[in-house]
Amino acid sequence: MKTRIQELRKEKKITQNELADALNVTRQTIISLENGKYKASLVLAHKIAQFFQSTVEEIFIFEEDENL
Amino acid sequence: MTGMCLLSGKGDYTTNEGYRKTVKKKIAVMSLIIILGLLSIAAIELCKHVFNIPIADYTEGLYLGIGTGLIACGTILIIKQKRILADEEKLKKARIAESDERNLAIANASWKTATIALLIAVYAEFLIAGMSMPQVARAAEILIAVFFIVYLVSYRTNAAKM
Repeated sequence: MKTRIQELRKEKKITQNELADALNVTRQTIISLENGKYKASLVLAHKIAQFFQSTVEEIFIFEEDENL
Repeated sequence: MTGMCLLSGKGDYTTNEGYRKTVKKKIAVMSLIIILGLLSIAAIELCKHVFNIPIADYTEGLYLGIGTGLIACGTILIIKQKRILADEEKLKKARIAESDERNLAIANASWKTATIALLIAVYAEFLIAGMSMPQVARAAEILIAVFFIVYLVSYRTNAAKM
């Protein structure tokens, strides 16, 4: 799974630390999410979407085999 | 490695105030670790001096070592938690590190690996030492039985919750 978190974060001009603080997670989680190493839970994905005033589908790009 | 904690995942992590209560509970658990350490030392001393049971040097060293280790470990962890309680910023950092879902996922995966390794070690102990020492085989048998009973009960309890 790829994400647009880094792109949206840079657009908003906020650091990984600031985003981590807003979401109540560690900076390492943000790094792993941006690298695609870790898949966010539904709750965290929802919080990220809310933070960027967007939708989960617009932020998280699912691979072919992850779709119906 | 701030999130590396065997006791993380249970408790209130929503606010610093809620987490403060969770840390206090952790301190109580750590006090229990110190008591277990004292019990290990007391057991060997009682056997040696009160009940006059002959104890091998290795066994005595083992009990004393484990006892001292548990006391030291519990004391260090209590000091660490008290420091966290005294500093609001440290409290927030610890709260986030312990409730962070990635840290919890890492801890769960590590538990799984460690459990499999433990089961293999117990089986190896049963296979190698069990033949010459029936008590070792019996201890391994009890450990495996307790593990699977707890697993089954825990699985059913959790399945009912989810």
